[in-house]
Amino acid sequence: VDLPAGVAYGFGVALEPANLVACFVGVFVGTLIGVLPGLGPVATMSLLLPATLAMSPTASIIMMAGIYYGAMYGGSTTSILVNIPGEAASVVTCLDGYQMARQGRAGPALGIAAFGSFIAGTLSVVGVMLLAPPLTAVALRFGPPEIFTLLLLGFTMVTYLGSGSRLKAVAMALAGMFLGTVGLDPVNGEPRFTFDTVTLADGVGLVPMIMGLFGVAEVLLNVEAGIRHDVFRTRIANLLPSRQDWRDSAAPILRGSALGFVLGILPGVGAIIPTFISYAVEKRLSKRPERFGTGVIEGVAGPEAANNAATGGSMIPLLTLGIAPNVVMAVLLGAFLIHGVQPGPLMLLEHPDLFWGVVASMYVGNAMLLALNLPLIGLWVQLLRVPYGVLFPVILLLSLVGAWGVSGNPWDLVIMLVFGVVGYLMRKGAWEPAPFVLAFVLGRLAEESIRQSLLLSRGSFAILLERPVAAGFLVATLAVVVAPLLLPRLPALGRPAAHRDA
Amino acid sequence: VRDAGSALVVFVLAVAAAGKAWQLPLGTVTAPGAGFFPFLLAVALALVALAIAVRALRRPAPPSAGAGPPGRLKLIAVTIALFVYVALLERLGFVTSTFLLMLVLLRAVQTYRWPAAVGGSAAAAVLAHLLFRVWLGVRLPSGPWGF
Repeated sequence: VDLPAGVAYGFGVALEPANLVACFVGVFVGTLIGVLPGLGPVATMSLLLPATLAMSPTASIIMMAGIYYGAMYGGSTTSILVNIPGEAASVVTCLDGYQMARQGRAGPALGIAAFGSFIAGTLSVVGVMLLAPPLTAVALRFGPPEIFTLLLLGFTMVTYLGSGSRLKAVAMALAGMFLGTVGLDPVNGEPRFTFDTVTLADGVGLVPMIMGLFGVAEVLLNVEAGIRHDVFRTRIANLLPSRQDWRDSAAPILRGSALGFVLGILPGVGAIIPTFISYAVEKRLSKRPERFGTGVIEGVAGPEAANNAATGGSMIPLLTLGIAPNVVMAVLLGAFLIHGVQPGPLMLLEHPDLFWGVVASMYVGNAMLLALNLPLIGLWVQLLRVPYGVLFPVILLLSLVGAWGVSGNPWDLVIMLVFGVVGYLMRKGAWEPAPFVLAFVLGRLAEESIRQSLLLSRGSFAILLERPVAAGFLVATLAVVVAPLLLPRLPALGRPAAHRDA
Repeated sequence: VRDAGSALVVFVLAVAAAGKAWQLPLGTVTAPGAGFFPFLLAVALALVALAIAVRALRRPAPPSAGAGPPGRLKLIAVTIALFVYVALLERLGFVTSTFLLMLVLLRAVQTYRWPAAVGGSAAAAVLAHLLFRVWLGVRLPSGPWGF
């Protein structure tokens, strides 16, 4: 499929009524939970996974993706108005956004956040359309040795780029990989750690596990902490940024988009780290760095563009290689899998509607978000007044019914609740769930590919070095391991946010 | 110190897992069997956990500011309520169990007054019944009373 034809086809798919509705529901829910503190995109996507079973694969992926980038828009609203990041990728937006609101410039702050996000979202969709097809062509020639070494590289980067202790991230990745071996052996079908139960023969369910680790665990943390929120009372007028605002923001938006997109592709980065880097870059480049933190519009425009562009970038490894670069993409991967679609290079050939439709829908969704966020901002602010005491029983009930709906197996509810408790304990002890889930999802594939490689080579590990691409990935892995030992330690950019409960 | 505690828990679990994996056919390095990778992973996890524990013991951990006891109690109440819900679901049916769960949750955390909590729980149970069972067609368990 050539590019223009693919794009046209994609928009044809994305504009089908059912997909349009799915897209709208996704971005609407995304904005909603982005605004509400205490419920992030990962939790929401995992809680809604079961609901997508009734939809077509394309519609459900469109909706899931919509929740993710919709949350990026919504999160900035609370950061600016309340100084509470609606989700983690908007932490940086608080710095200057809230100061702008206090100076009576909430309107332009919200406006530039929405426009910046829109521009970045658009650019990143273009990037996905340009990069994904050629990458897919390369990935199609990958055999088990290439897949194994690529996964090795991915695992290494994931443990590096987390926030907090490296050793703990390694431990979590190992634990996740181990848990992934539960079920039937992928090569010879031998049952492993099933304790002779039917439930565990298929392995630990990805959906109940993710719902527990991210959805239930988050509710438990919030119940314990007892969230309160007060809306900063301000009249939001004049959402359109002035000509001067645009002059100040244009370059940060473009730089933020490029940064977010490129970093988003890398494993383990996600949408949070690019916002910190973008903020640091803008401050460095600014003629008035001392004013950052007092309400400068560049401090809002750059990071907001970065987090939106990162959502697009992180779709690339998933769509072309079938590898989830971060937790959100792991959930999305789960959504593909429960619909029986294996994302990866073959998807572009086998399900072109899915690939092009999802990418085009991201553009449609970004346009919808602009419409949702600018005129309806007052409505979203009202939402902050829903007390958590009402909200959290509803979230829990939805997750229980959802987990039941997937399989009708009560043990899946138990799995979900157990992982809810495990996720809570992990968060309390600063053991990150992200590497755990990624390794769980990818570990099976890693084991399968190395064992197939060894079957191919009749037991010789040299196969990993003889094939140039595989050898290249191995060298890159080694470089990732060795580099930090040689380079002076970089300032830990992603750390401030995640460190607060460490 | 708390780090050391949680790392030791992980260590014990990893050793148990390694023991379980040992009982599977291991195969050889060049032709690994079903138990090979699980065993390797469990051993590696045990070692890493041990390293974390040792490190944590060597340097004093910063004092952690946990939520006060009231939050902790709410948390425990909610967790127990959720597990009890799963146990009751197939015995009492969806509507009854949901009503009871909502009642506990509404009373436990925000402490709504009884009339509000009972009314809210009943409304939640009926709405959930209409939404999930009647409209979306989820096959939720019925109790002895048929709902």
